[in-house]
Amino acid sequence: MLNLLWELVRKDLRQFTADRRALLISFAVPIAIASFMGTLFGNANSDSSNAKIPLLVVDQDHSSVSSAAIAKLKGNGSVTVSESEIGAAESAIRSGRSGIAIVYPKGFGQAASSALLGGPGGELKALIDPSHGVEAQAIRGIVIQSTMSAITGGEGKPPFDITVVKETAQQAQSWSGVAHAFAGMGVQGLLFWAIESAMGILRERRLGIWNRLRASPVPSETLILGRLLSAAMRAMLIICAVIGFGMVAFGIRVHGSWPGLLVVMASASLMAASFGLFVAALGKTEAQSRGLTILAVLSMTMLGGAWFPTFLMPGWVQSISLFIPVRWAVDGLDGMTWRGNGFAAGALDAAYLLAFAAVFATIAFRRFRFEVEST
Amino acid sequence: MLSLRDVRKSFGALEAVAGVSFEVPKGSCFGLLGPNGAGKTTTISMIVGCLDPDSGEVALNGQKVWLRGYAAKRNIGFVPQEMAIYEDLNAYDNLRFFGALCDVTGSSLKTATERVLEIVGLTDRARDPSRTYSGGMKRRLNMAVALLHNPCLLVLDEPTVGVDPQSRNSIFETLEALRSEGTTILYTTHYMEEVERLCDHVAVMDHGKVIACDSIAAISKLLPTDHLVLVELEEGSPPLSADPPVKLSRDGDRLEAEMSDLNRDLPKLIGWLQSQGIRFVGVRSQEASLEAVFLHLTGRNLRD
Repeated sequence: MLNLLWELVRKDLRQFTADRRALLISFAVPIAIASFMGTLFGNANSDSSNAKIPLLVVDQDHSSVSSAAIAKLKGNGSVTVSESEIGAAESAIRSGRSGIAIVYPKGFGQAASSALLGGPGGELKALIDPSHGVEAQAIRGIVIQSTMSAITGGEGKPPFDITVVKETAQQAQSWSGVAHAFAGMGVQGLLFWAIESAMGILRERRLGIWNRLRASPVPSETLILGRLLSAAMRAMLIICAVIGFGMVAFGIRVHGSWPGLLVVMASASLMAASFGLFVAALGKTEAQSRGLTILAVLSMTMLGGAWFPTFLMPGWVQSISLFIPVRWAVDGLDGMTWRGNGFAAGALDAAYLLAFAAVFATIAFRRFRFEVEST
Repeated sequence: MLSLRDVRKSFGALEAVAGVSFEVPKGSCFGLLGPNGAGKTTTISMIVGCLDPDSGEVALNGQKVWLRGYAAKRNIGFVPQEMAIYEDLNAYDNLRFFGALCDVTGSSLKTATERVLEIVGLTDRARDPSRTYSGGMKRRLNMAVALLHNPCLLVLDEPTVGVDPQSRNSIFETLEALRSEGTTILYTTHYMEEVERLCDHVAVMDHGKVIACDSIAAISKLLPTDHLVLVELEEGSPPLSADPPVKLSRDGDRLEAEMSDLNRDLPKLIGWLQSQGIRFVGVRSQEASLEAVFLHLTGRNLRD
């Protein structure tokens, strides 16, 4: 039995290496896309808690209060202040070159100071690009603090501060866009390869090869199992190559568990292999199956967080993603790389992936058709 | 050797095989004939055990042949109609793989591989990827795969489709050699001349049923005449008015006359045509062929 399985796997591996061009594409495409995405996400690699929010300031007041307030803003570590004229600021916001501008209108200093004595008070104007709503909320607090201290002449230092603690399994790990890009595109590469694997099975069925295999004295289940194992091994080679390239070329590091990473990669490979078998079992022809499957894979990778992390997505998408195997594969790889999770966390992600693999494989084993019906 | 008893198989509403029974004697070359859609391939699929019949039984040397009838399957070599080989692999790797499926491994695999490569004449190209082979070479490799485990029954489903004359001859010689060594052969084809050259027994299928099954000599006797005489008439000949002395059919300017005794019936026919004032430009006779028998039995040509 084991010898027979080995021969089934060996034949598939020889076929895999025989077509050099297809072999190159299987590895090169996910690596190229991951490299591109990794380069895009590379800037997000830095510690986001140290990032400064750019802020335009327009001083139409030119009072001691407005000057002092702007000086204090410039001294704040959370913003990068650039002074501007009102027209230029409005134009910069409208065109999207800047996100937020604060305008100190004429007479603001006097009005604000009189408010301390019961006067009507002054009013600042904030111009914002609607896509920068979150930054505007943060800026509001900073501007109020700086301006209040300028009005009162005090330091304006709050009686407490907030210490930011990055909560990952390995302390002080930052989110790595590059690691996520290689995880996501690696998993996407596996699924696209699974489509090719399924098309190969459909092609062999059209050529009558599966019919001949079925005429051999070997149980059908063994033939399908052999195909599943060989497909999983080839998928494992692909994901190892993609992640390995990311480590060498982009400096991705495993801050979590190496055994955990291997378990997640092996489970993702088995999931992809069984997905390919599932497609082949349900598909009738290559032409009919390819388009539908590409659509399904793109939807899975998009919703499962392979393109962008799920935490950037709306809550309902995050809920849906729990039912998509891509989510667990990407989370597992993220967990073992930049999150620095331990083996147990990886094993949990792997367990979900194996459950998906079991569902795909069960359907595939039950529905697999060996022959094209003819008379 | 091989027996089919009331074998039936349907696909939905279509009854592809409707109660087929026949016996293939040991050491014979048995031809299975029929037009497209006659049910030959479905019958073959059940004979090689890759499709289970809905009812009836296929048995080889007393062992039931079915999907999980592995013992019986080990004695069957199957050459499918399609080129069922891995074109990315060379002949050697194809044979190694299919040999392993039939428990041919190790040193016996090496010996068997060399033997079948020699038989099909591919020894020199065994290490080249089979996608670089000609159509005929691929057909021969397709056959070599089925011979590797030395089966006692070799089943070939139209093995010469698209094959050049040289490779076709090579396949025939291989089959004749195998038969002389005692291998039983079941052969389906559209080509009557192949059956007439290779086979000693024939089953004719049509609409999922066997409509005749016997030796070629006995099958030929099913045609109620020994000769078919074709008479080419002058263009625009008048219609036939009186009763002819032999059975005649007319197709435009061509007459087909069935005769059991040429010396007796041909002069009668010519005299009758002259008496009718009908002129002819050519006369030729041919012996009753399987093609004619098939036409007689089914009303259709084999390649319809």
